[in-house]
Amino acid sequence: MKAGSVSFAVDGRVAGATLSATHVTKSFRSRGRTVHAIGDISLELAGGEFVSLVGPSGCGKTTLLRCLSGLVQPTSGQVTFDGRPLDGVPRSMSIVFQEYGRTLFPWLSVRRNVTFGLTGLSRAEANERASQALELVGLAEFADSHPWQLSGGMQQRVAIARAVATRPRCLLMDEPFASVDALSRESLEELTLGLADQFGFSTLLVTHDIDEAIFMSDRVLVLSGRPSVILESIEIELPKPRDEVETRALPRFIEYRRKIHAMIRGAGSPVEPAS
Amino acid sequence: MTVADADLGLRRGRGGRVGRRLAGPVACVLVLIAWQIAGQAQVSLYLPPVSTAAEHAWAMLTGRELGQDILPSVGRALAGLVIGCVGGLVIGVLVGYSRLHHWVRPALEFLRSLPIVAIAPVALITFAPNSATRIGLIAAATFWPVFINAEDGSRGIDPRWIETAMAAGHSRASILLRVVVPGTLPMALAGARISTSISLLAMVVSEFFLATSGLGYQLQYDARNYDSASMFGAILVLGVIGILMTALFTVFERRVLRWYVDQKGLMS
Repeated sequence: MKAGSVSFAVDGRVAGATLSATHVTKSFRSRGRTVHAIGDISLELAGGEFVSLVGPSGCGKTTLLRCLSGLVQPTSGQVTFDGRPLDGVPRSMSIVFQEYGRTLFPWLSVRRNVTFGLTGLSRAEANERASQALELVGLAEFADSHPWQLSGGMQQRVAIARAVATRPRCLLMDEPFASVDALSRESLEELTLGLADQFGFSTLLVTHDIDEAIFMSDRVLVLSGRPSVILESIEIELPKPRDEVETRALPRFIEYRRKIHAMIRGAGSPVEPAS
Repeated sequence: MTVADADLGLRRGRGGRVGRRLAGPVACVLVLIAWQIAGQAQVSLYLPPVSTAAEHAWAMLTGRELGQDILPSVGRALAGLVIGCVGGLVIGVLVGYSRLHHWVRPALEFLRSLPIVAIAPVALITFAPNSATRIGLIAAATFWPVFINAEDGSRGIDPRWIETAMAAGHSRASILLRVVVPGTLPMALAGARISTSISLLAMVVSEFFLATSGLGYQLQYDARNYDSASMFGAILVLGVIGILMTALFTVFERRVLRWYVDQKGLMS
């Protein structure tokens, strides 16, 4: 499907998992006050679909992602993965966080950081998988370096390699490209799209970058400010494969951007986020 | 990008590198010369010149004292240091990671504040005045710096590291071993560096009481006999042992914390 620029040597297509949330709410107590982070959210991520969650900063996007991943329990409502209620992070789910510096282990080499995610495989299998994954993200020659010897964009590639090495059926990404420079971000976006296309996993991307959400997604969910609810689900009907320059220049792309912008600013947050 | 590249521009100052390397030894020599002059001028009846002290030290290092006093003492110091540091790391990490902090801290603060000089005679009488008890005393004294740093360090482990490991399907035990312990090591080893010098202190003190051999025993024996030349000789020997142990520790630390040292080198 994807034309030429990256050739994938590995055939490891998976059936994308479905992830669905029904009436999920999350509140927590902070300094004696109850903070309602998530109002009432129901959503569904279909098998192989690429969905983005956008919203104003401080709207509870990250909290929602943590509920959806099984890292934290929602206050009420239910999250199911392939129809089964979540109990911790499912084995076939991988997560990429924003802060690569805080999720890669500085005492492990790049290769060991990738194999760290491969519990339950033999050493040889894990090494083989790690080599393949590093090849995919273009870091094969840095396998024996340490994360802190690499640039931010390269470190995030290691995190992505670790995520895809497990052959996930679902990938959750929490603002994965927010702390890398603009050029690295573009290539990381294309890399992620290519990998999703290649392997067929379902992807849920949390971002505050409207352009990024439109560019990457099949569908964009627009969140309100706290307590967040889904304002609208917008199907993104842009041709694939997407191209950083061409796709972003399409009139339709600009139309989507205007619409989502207006939505976020208009319905906005009842509480102004303190940044 | 390599460590060597980063070193090029970032190290401060260019000139006087030879001067700076020599500064330490030169200062030492100046102090020794001053000591020599003071000793020869008989500033105090009990201050021998450094040459006399060095002769005695050399006699100890080459005579029967080596096998009878010095090596057993050093062996006990090392054994106690290893036991104390390993114990401090293990218990510190467990207390920090399991959040038992509030339960055990008051009791531990009490134990920690007991001076080793006070415990030594009690322990040697209560248990037995033998090597095992002395090693235990050294272990008890060297435990604290590592314990406190390990406890603090493991509580300060980035929760994202833990979440990453949880998301990858690691068990609690595996997270402890593969994330918490390595993440705590830089701080724990900073404590162990302090413990290394404490181990010599505790070794000497443990041999002040109910002992018939050892460096601490020798020191006290010489002091009782006003044999100041032998006493200063023993002190010189202790100093040399201290330098050697610190050097040994530095080599060990470099090996274990290579990633940490290199990372700091890259950022500083």
